[in-house]
Amino acid sequence: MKGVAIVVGLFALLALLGPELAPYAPDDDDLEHILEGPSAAHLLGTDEIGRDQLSRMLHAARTSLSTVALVLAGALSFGVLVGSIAALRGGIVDEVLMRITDVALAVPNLVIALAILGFMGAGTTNMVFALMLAAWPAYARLSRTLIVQIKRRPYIEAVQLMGARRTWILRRHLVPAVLGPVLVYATADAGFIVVSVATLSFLGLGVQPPTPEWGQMLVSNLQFMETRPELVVFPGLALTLLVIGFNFAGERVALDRVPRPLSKRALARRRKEALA
Amino acid sequence: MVRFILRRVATAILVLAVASVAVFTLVTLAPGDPAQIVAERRSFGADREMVERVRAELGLDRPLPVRYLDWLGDVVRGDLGTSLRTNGEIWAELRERTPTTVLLVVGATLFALIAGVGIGILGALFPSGLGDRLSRLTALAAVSIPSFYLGALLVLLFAVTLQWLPSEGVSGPASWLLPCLTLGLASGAVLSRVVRVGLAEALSSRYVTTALSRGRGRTGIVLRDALPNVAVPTLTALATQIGVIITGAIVIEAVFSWQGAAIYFLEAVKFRDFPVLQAWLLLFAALFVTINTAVDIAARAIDPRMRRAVAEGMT
Repeated sequence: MKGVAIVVGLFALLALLGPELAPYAPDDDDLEHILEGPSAAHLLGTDEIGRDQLSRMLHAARTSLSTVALVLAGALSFGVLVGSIAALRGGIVDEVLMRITDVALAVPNLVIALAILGFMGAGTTNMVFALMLAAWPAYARLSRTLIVQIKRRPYIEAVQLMGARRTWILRRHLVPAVLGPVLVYATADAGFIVVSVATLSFLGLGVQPPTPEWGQMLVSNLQFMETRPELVVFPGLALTLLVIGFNFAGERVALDRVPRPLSKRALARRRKEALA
Repeated sequence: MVRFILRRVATAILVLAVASVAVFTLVTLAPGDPAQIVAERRSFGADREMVERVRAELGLDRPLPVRYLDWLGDVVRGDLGTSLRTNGEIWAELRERTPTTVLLVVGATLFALIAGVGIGILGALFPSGLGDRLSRLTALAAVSIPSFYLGALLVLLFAVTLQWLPSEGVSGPASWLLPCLTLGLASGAVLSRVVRVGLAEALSSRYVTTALSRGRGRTGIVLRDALPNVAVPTLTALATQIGVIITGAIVIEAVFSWQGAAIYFLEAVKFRDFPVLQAWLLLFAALFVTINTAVDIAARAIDPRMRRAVAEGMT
């Protein structure tokens, strides 16, 4: 599982340093060297107006990870806010908010995002907003369930009896308790949002050219696939590796929070320790 | 059972009513004045008078609830309005394009179901075998790879390099293969896991131990005793996956240049063709509610325990 941490870490590093590592600017065209195969000057070749593919892919890493971070931050904070309000207010407020999340959860995220983009128009900012609106209900539902469970625990009643104010309890006890599971869910969600960003950009609704993004690079290089397949293969590969990294990480973090039966070796060790 | 069905159908209608209001409100909340947009499209630099004339013509000057009821009445009568982009009847255009999408969705669903259930059963018959371990890895890869990239890779391999199959368009069964495979793969992977995990759970129960001790073969036990237990979770997962497949059809039709209903929606999104968006979202909601209701009812019909629970008033 160290491999997974390395993959995600590597991509984070690429996103941070990528643009500095890139040998060329992402929009640096060179019409004398168009659609060239890999060479010493251009490790992954060049596209139809002679832009260096490696440099564009490195810049795209930052685009992908920063949009994903924005979407997650927005969806998470709004979702947790709505979830806490529903759980703490209860009654009709809870009922109405939860029915809204029911409906939103029943519709696939991509459809919600497409509908919003259809009414707002394409572009990176609108895409981030649309994906936030599609993603928040899951966080609202999760945090509401957790808070409803926690708020009946004796230690919360104890601080209430001590005269603590509601906002204080929320800030000091409820939000920290909710944050763990919510972050676990966010890790698993990240891979899905990476794909959504790339898919929307592939469909021409997200990140617009000339800003490089993997899905958008892939779609504009599709027409040259017969002569230069690497122009399609590599952006997609980078994208897929990042998604696999996030999905593995999500599964891992989720598993780590569930108590597992001890392995045979661990059992044997304990037995030996107990006897000694 | 009848009461359960009636209750589910009533809920479905209520949800659809809410969805229709939501879809309608979304359009009125959209930035920009539709009358202005239409007038601009008809003649460049439309003046105020022309905008007002278009507004009256489209009925946009009337109060919101009236417009909603009017629109709903038209929809119920089968009139979905006119597209702003093509000026064609939305209903006629959709009807022309729907068979292509149905072909794609049904093909992908069948592939996912057959491959998923098959691989799941094989995994349970030969647990921890090479196939079982391989299928687990493949499942994770299949869920992670974006469908448009998978489509491009398959085209690269089968259409460009080997030249066995066409890369785009709809022209006979050979051209259906790649799109349906691309669209169904991830869902097949999910279903295979559901079947595999469900079978493993059923196989660890006591009646299976009893059956084994009576000398019955593993294959018979998996197929006759364990498999029925997996029917309901598989059906529920399938309902979710049909939703995923219908949504995925938008991307697949774009990748393989199929002129289906899904790409019609995508074009409407790009051109901000509000009447088509409204119609499409409403149809989509209707489709989803129908699938979910049907699955709920089917699950209850399949699983005798659920029926008994109802009879004993345990719902």
